Amino acid sequence: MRAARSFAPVLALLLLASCASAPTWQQVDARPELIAFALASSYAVVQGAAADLAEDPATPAELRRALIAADEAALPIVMRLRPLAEEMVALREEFAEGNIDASRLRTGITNLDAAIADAAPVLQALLDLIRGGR
Amino acid sequence: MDTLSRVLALLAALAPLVLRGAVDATRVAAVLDLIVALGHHGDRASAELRALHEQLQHLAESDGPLPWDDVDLALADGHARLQALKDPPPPGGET
Repeated sequence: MRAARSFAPVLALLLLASCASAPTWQQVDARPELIAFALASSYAVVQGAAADLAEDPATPAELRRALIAADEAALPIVMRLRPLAEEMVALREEFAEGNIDASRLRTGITNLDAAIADAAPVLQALLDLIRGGR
Repeated sequence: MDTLSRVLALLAALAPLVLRGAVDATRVAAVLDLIVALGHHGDRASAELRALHEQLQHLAESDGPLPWDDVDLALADGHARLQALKDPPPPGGET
């Protein structure tokens, strides 16, 4: 419910974005692995910000420990994105060549979707810690 | 294009997947929220976000391979920086 509420302003922003620019995003729609890449890359940005904060001598030791622990918990989850995204690419090629059926392709999408769903909250948790420390 | 516009364009990039149900919208919403939040920071994270958006746009248009090695290096670097800050083991643990 909380997440659903948070999605409403995002949709509003999307409407604004569609008026502000018209990039060729159809290619993104055909490449779900881009979402996984965007998520892992976003985590790297957040993780860097967490390291900046943790290295600040003014940061309380308790927060520093929490940042370290959050990264330790999140990193294995984030690291699952790459192999599944690369598997997605391989499956799509196999499907295009007629070597596998659509159900196998759907399984790849489901696996990637699950990894994305797992990674999103840990990314959010690290960001929340950073927000609380600033 | 200012930071907010870039963030909005990135959200637009993610929208088709969310709207057609390929990705769980409620989970992805958290990611979109944080990208928006990062875009409002006037610090290094904001600059990195702008670079990320430009990279994603290029990747989407080029249909080329994704530079995962760069991401892995960044993740390893950030993790090493945080691990280096871990408290030392308590004295007396070794004889």
